[in-house]
Amino acid sequence: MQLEPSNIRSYTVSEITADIRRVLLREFDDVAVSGEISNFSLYPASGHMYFSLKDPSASIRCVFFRGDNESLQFLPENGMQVVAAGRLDVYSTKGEYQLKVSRLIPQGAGALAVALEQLKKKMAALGWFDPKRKRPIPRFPECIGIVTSTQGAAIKDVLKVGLRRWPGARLLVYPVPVEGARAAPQIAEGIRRMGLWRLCDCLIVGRGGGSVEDLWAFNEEIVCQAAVRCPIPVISAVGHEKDVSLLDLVADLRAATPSMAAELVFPDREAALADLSNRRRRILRELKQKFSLAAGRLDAIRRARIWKNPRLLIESRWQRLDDSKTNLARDLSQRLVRASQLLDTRRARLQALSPLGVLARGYCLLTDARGTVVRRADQVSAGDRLSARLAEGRVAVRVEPGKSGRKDHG
Amino acid sequence: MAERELKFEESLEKLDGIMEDLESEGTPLEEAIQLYEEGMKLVKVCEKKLAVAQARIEKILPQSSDDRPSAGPLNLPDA
Repeated sequence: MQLEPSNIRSYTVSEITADIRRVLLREFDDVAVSGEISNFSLYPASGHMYFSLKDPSASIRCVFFRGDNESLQFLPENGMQVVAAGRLDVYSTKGEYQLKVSRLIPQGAGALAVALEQLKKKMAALGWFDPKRKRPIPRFPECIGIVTSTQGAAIKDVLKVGLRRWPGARLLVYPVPVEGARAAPQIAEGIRRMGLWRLCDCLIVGRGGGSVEDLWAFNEEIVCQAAVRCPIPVISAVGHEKDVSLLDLVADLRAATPSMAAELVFPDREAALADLSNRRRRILRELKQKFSLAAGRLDAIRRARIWKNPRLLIESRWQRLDDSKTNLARDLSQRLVRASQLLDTRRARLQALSPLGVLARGYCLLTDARGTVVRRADQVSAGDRLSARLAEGRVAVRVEPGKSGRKDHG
Repeated sequence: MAERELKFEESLEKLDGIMEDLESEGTPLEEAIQLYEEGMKLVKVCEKKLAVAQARIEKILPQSSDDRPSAGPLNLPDA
């Protein structure tokens, strides 16, 4: 069979491969492909991952290089449903096209559950769920920040409930996409910047309800990490009541829904007003009580008998003085009686001991002119005047010359 | 020096303190009257704050940079 060169372009293998590659790169530069993982292999030496994505009627080769898969928070497994985001490329050596994966997002209940478990373990090990980390939400925030989509129901719910509770609220919204492959990085960036700028006192992060896949961004490590690092308290508000995201576990406060977040974060004006008037009443009551207490005391003083009959003041004192006088006299006479008793006993004891008792038996005590007691005859000379002490009275005596005197003396 | 305006929360805390002092037996009457006047002033300030009914809702604009955030009005699409 003869070919017709005018109708057919001819290539070398390399040329056609290069052309195919160009077309693929142009047309499939940024795609997300969903399917089930099969033939998964991880080469520990290089760290690259190779697998196929398949659905019931087709399959595509995928490569997930180490530089891209390092941020992956779960280990892919065969049979897992995923969305692989990346671009199509050609592996020239084998003439195969393949998806160069930049992000891998688990899909479907089974795969998501596995990924969630793995992520949860990792965050728990990092201490991100520690209750001690949780900060209190200010009771009366000046400004409330919200990281969410401006398209969804969440922002409307927050505004509706929030402004009903606190009509003068200040709100600052950081708009982000809340689902799809780009949601997580942008939510994380929103949290980071709101924290960096400190334009609000607390930050609500969330979205309305959706499928498990729709809510996945709020499980991702970058989002949770941004919440952990945020200097402002973070309130999570993801999906419906039954949905528990990892952000819920990391956040300082978990609200089951965006409406609930508004209930928790926005102070209630009516309650605050009631509280204020309560305080006003209490203050007034306390002051009144203080007054009536003081007035009561004053009254009691005023009613005292003494004011009506001031003479009592003097009379009672007279009486006391009289009493004192009587007492004093009685005391004094008692003291005198007692003193004379004490004296009597001492006198009797003294007399018993007195040397004068000897004189009573007829002895006498001789003293010379100087008062010295005369014990020997040679103490005196003839003519000396002595004094003799008798039991009663004294007699003056003179020494007569005699043989017992000291004749040589004198 | 002009006193810094108290935040709502701080005002409530101060009110609590005033009430505690008022309840205390040891507070002299003269001081109690002063406390009462101060308390009532705080209640008025708080009430005024609650009376502000104009919400301020803004969004961060896309061109905000890390060092210079800019905010503009938030327009929500009608449901």
